[in-house]
Amino acid sequence: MDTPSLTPEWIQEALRLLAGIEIDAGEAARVLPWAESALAARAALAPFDVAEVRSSLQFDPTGPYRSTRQTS
Amino acid sequence: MTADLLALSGLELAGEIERRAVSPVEVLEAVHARLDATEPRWNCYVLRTADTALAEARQAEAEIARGQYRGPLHGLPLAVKDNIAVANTVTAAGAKFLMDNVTPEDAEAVRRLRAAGAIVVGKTNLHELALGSTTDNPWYGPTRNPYAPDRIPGGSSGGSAASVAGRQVPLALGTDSAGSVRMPASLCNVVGLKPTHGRVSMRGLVASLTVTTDHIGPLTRTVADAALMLEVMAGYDPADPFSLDRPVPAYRAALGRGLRGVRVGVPTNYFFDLCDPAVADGVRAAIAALADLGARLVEVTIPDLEAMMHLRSGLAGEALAFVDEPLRAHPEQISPDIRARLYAAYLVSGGDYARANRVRRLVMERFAATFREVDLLAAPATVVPAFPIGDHDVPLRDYRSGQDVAEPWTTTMIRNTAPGNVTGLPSISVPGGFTPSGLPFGLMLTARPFEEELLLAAAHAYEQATNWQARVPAIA
Repeated sequence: MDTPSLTPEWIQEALRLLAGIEIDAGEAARVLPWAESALAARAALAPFDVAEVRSSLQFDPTGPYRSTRQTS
Repeated sequence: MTADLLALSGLELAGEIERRAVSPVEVLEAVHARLDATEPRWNCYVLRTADTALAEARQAEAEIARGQYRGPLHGLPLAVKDNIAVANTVTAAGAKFLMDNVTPEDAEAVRRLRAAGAIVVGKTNLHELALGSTTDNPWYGPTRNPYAPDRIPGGSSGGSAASVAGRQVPLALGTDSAGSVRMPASLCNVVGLKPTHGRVSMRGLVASLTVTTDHIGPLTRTVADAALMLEVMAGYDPADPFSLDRPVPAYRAALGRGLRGVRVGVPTNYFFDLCDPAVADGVRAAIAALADLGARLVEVTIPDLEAMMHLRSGLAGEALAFVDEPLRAHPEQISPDIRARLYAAYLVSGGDYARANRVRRLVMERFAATFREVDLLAAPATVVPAFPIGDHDVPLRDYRSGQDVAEPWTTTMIRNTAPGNVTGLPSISVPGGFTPSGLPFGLMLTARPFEEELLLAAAHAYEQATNWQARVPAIA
């Protein structure tokens, strides 16, 4: 999987569209390495066959009944 | 006598208190004197709780005088990282937008330690939102490493590690979502223990950005003190959804088991691939010392770990569950470097998060397969020693190519600790030696879930044989 080359402008547009957040170009430049890392991670994880893997989120329907705390 | 009190470990000090050779008030006075002398330089604390500490020390003194000794924590000073709630104090997690966050009750781990008699003397500095390795906090200033004050103490629990290293207190609490207990422990020549996920309640942990990788753990000068704290903190908490209901062993009773016959895995990939040569050589020597103590060394390979550890980027979106609102409402109250990391989390999709969690399960299975061959894994806790405050890239050697490279601290510092968070396995950093330039590094041992007894026993055996913690930083 190819990793697209990112620019501060791409970061600004993505944040505007995905989160409704406006940042300036300087701030976007600081986000750039982290965004590149996220896309590199997507590429690195893609080859792993996880079709039969159960997530470690470990859904447990009994969990809420173990708590003594009340939530509103 | 007062000047020597803080040279003692927690259990040694407890012995003095129990036999009434010293009172908790005298111990507290020694702590205050040390803090007054060293805090202007080291900046380990964001808050000192002098009034409540004095009241509790006087109460402890009176109780002990009446013969109501609660046990070895009674009257011992304790530092608490400032993302762990202490009743009626601000718990800001190193973040400006939380500086009016007064927590009404103790975190469960703190509650248990205080019930056993520990006295909270203050809240320690951390990397902003516990999201980093330097403890160069933009709002509270940098904490300095007592062994090299121009260098970082590690993080994010840098204040706690530096405070213990600097003989300000014998016991401290930290949190570890990617290495934040073990990594500063490594850089500050102290013991840092990350228990099994679910072993210690996380209720009262403020601003945890990835709850499935986060842990509360002790930082101490000796393994026995870590065992003491774990004995008290561990145990089921029905109000923490991640807490697991398992018996709590008498960890201190297991310390003498030694290493004879224990199979220690020595990784052939990942953990030594990128490493400062002095640290790599030092940790290999430490592992050889484990063999001298009777351990059987077994080379192990965990396939694909380098690629799979990219899953941490996929988990990053979880942070937004907590930080979305303040990030939108008060971005100026979050420092630019942390803002950048958090903005990038919006680019992680739901699919990325789900895949990351499935790959995480694969990582857990590969570690489980490894732990069918060995009882412990040994590796450097950090691949580099402490670096100068303000540096961004750290030098190290890529042993796969033989090249010397420089990598950003953001990935380098958690490289070896983060697998323990992804898997939830118990893991400890014990002082492993010093580089030729005098900087400490830690030997990291990791065990199967809930095998903290084995972990502590092995670390204790190594500690007794090497005694690196006896090398004291310049305090005066």
